[in-house]
Amino acid sequence: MSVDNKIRLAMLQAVLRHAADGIISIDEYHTLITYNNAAEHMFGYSTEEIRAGGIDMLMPERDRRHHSAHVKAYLHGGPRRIIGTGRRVCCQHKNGTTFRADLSISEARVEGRRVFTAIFRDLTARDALQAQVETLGADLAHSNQELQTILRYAPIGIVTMSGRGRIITVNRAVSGMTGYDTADLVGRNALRFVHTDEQRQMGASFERLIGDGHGYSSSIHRIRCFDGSYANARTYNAVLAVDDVAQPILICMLQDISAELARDEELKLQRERLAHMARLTQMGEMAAGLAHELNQPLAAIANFAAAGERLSRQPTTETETLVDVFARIRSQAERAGQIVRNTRQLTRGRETQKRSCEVTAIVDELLPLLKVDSRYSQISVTTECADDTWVYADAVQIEQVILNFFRNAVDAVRELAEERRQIVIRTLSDLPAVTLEVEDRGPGVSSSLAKTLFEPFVTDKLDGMGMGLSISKTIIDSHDGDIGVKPAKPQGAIFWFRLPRIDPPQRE
Amino acid sequence: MSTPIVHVIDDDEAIRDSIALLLSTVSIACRTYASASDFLERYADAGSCCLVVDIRMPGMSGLELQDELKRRDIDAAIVFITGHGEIDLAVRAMRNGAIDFVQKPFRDQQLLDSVNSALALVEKIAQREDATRALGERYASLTPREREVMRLVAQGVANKNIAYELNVSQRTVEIHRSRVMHKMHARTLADLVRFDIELSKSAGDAIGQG
Repeated sequence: MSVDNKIRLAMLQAVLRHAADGIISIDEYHTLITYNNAAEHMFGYSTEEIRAGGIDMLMPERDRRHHSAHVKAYLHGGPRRIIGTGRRVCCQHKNGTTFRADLSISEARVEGRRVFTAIFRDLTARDALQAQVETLGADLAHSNQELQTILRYAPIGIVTMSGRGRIITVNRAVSGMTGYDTADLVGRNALRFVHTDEQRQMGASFERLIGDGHGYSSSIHRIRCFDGSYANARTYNAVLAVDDVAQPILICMLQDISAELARDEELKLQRERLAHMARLTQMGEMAAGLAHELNQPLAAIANFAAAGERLSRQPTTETETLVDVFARIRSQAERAGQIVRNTRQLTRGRETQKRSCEVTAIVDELLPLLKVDSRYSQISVTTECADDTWVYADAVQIEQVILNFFRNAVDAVRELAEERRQIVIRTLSDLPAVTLEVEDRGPGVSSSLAKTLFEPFVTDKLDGMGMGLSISKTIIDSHDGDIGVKPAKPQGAIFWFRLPRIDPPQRE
Repeated sequence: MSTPIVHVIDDDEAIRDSIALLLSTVSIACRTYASASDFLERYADAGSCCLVVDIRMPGMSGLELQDELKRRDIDAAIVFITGHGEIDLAVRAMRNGAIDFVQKPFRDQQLLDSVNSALALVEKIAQREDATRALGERYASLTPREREVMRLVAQGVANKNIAYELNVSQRTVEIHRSRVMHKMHARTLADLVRFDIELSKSAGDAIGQG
């Protein structure tokens, strides 16, 4: 053997050993010439087993007879059936299982011998992969159908758009919300259906999303409807960047919140009405005191006028004396007017409006009215007010809470002995908060009652509705504040609320 | 007797001043006070007095002042000023011996009438106090023997029985009796009997018993 041939042989052996395909060769007498590692692994038989048992073992029982017949016929000059063309065959493993393989057979004549070489390629893995792909395809089709159904019937409006905002698809909810047919919308620019004041904002949001290539934005917009009205919608915009599509897709989801907004508005109105009712109720409770207070200047006016009458009949009376009497009458009439103004200010139903205000200023403004009430109940009221008590609040509502605390304090002490008929109104200002306290010398609040006192219909008064403190709590909650009660020393209760302190507004 | 003074106690300055002005037009002098405690502090004279008081005041109320004056044994003729719907308070005040109450706003004449009757009562009390004092002084000028004779005469004992009881002559009794009548300023026997009764109850004397 030449060196070249030696090299070729070595190469052939290496190829046979490492080939992924099973390679088996035999001669016309069925003598096994080659049976490589891959074939051994594929069929499970060792070389010795094949040599002993023959290659018929490698095919299912039913094929063996045909095989023998074909081989015999071919060797006797019959037609080629498989040689050179190849075919897909069924193979049998040593353990009895069968598998499919691509088989190609070649024939060679070597030194007078006819050598047949069969190459098997196992199709098991490929078949499995194919089956998987088929399943996946079916799943995908199913998912797609599901997704389409979901999109179609989703209660949220879903609009897909080109990167420029041109509408590609809309679902039923969009039509339901806007009254437009799908055909009215597809192909048109989505921004045209947003309120003119908000188009710029929406457009900017689209551009930002496309620029980033990912992400999400949400805001509230007015969407123009077919009938010219506007629907309030919360919009969620997202961008869908598909790798092999040059233009990103914008997806906008629309949630109709008109009903929600209407409900919120109604709730707010109801709360305001309730608060106003409570304010009127408090005024009703103070009516006796107010009547008494108004009676004071009226009585004084009657007295001054009567004295004036008598004086003007006396010849010795000087004009200056009469002038003084008239001045006194006028000043008392003004006093009566001021009382009426104070009362009216508190009873009018103003709309909720938060702005920068000072708690101490609210107390000062309320004080004349509180004094009316306390004078009538023979209670002494003192204030200990701090400077710099700026908060962001609705002054009318805060006034109401203070009045509520105060009325409770009056009820707590009015029947007590003189030294306990005392109320202190205090404002405190520290860094994070402004605190208001109303302290009385009454019987105090039991710790068990204190836990539930701020809930509706809880009261320790015989004729109380139990609404005042619960409304006060609602008010303070809506101002991000705290409200509570603690025992006073040596006796009594301190009702307090705390609001976040803000910096004084800049003077212009 | 000093000029009568009305003390006006009301926490409301305008009410206080207007009442003072009204009283001045009928020449009634008055002093004003912003609170009951202010009055108690400034009213040093413990004699009987005439007050116009607001029934409802911060600190000590009108009713509480009325109680306090009773506790201090000061005879006070009080006219209360009440607001609308305070009849229950007024009734309590009247039961407690107030002269009258006027409801704000009131007619000037109504207040003046009430104040005048209060002043009249105070004067009557003062007069009676004077009379009692004078009677006591006269009684004090009697000798022990004359006092014994006066007691027996007032009890209706006859001269001869007095002479027997005191173991003196009837003539002596007649002389004592004549001196007693003279010293006690009694014109008739009936006067003497009345003086005796008044002297016997001289300790307790207050408004409401006259």
